[in-house]
Amino acid sequence: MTVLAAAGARVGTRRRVKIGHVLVVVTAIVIGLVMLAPFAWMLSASLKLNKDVFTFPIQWIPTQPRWQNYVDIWTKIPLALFIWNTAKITIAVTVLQLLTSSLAAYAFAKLRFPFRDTLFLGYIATIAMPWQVYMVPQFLLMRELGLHNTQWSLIVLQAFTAFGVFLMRQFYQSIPDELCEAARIDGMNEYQIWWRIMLPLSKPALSTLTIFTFVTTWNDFLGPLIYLTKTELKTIQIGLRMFISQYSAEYGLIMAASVVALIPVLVVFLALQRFFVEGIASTGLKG
Amino acid sequence: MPIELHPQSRVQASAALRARPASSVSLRGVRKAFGSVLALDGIDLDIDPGEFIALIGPSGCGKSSLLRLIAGLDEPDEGELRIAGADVADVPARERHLAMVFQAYALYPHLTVFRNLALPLEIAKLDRPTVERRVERIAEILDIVHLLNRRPGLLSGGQRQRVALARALVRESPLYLLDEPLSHLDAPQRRALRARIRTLHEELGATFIYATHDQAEALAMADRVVVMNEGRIAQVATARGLCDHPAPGFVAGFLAAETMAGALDARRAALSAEPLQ
Repeated sequence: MTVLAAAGARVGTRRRVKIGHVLVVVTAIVIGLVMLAPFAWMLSASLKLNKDVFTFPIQWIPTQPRWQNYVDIWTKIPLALFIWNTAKITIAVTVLQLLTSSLAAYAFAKLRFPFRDTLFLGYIATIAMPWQVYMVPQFLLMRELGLHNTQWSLIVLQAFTAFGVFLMRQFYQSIPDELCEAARIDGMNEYQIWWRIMLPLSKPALSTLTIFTFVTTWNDFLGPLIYLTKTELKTIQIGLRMFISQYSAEYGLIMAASVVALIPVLVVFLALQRFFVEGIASTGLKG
Repeated sequence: MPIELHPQSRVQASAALRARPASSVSLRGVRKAFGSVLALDGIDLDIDPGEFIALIGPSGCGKSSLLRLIAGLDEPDEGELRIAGADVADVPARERHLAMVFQAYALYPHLTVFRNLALPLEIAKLDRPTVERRVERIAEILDIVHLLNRRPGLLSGGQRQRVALARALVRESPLYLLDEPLSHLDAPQRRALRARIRTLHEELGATFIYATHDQAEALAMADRVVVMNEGRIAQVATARGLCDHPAPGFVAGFLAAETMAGALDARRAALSAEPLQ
């Protein structure tokens, strides 16, 4: 959006429109439309009867919008319960990940201990391993621990991530060591430095990690599919499948529920995106 | 009675802090290498409680390394370090009860100046009125009262340096380490602050170790001056002694070079000032 606006402004002030600019703007608009089309289709489908969803050519604005879909989704399946379940898991996972990642990252970035960098390399090397490779043995392990069919299984498994540690450590390395040293001399222990100095300074990194974790956990399908089989434990993403029966699928309702499921993700993203580029860490130092 | 006991114990606590005697510092055969670079090569030095010691020498001579070692930010490879008579080899920085001014300020960017100064006192679990009183007092002495509600990012270099100085001095600790605390100030500010630091030293009765590259500053402020070169101590003497009997070789050369440089600076200033009139 800003790119488009900036490009537009430049074109306006320059008066002589260059072909290159036009091409860039047109390409950006086309790509933007391609990205937005599925969302538009989803919104439109959520207001249609099941039989009208797949009519062709696509009727983007339904002649008779069926708002009843947005009422039915709450009664046909226990959607409110699914949202509550998803929220519980997502918030727990996000909070735990922020805590564990930033604490581990502090140690990897600012403390000195034997084999620090080797351990770190080993840890982030696990990012390269796809989850599909070890999800079955992991499932067996969780079943042995008796966590199968509990929401704890999903929370515990996702409470620690190598990616989060990596992201936070990169950011902490940009915070000057002198700040930690000054804090140590001021009498703080390492946990106090982490809590009082590093965490407040790492808002941009924490926001980024919050967005990543929240979106991934909220939208997770495979994890809940494997671990949660009882209806009362299900999350939205697997709960939506209840609209699909053996011979038919309620596409209008699925799309309506999907739109509802999208709202929290959108809210989190919009609330935190402004921190993405904000950097205040080095302003207390020289220069 | 119990109501009276509480404030009284508070008064006693803060009195005890102020009465905390100054620390002696003693180094024996201290060595420190960073990779293949030998930063400190056998340092022997005894500093009396309450003394004002200046460390001078060319850049890279080991002044900062020595301060960081005393502070506990780095560990010596060899040798013994005692603060107030106690071997501090296993004492972490936060338990050494000293305050330090960093050359790069190291102010907490997310906190206001007031919170920057108050934080070390809050960590020491002082009560709110004491914290406020001390912060206000030190802010007056260093002329930063009007900056208390600002964040470090909005301050000029000189202002940041005064805040960094204040954050160390507010601690009222038995030992102060100052790493080039006035290096980013202009000459008049530097002269004014020299006098204030000296006054604070008298008032606090604490031990000061003050690293500087400015000879005039060292000679003007310190009880004794330690001249360092290439990780070794070249000479320890009073200002008078250093001027009257500089050790032959490096010290004499260093002092002379600085004097010459100072004279040249003065001459350059004088010459460039003339055409303007």
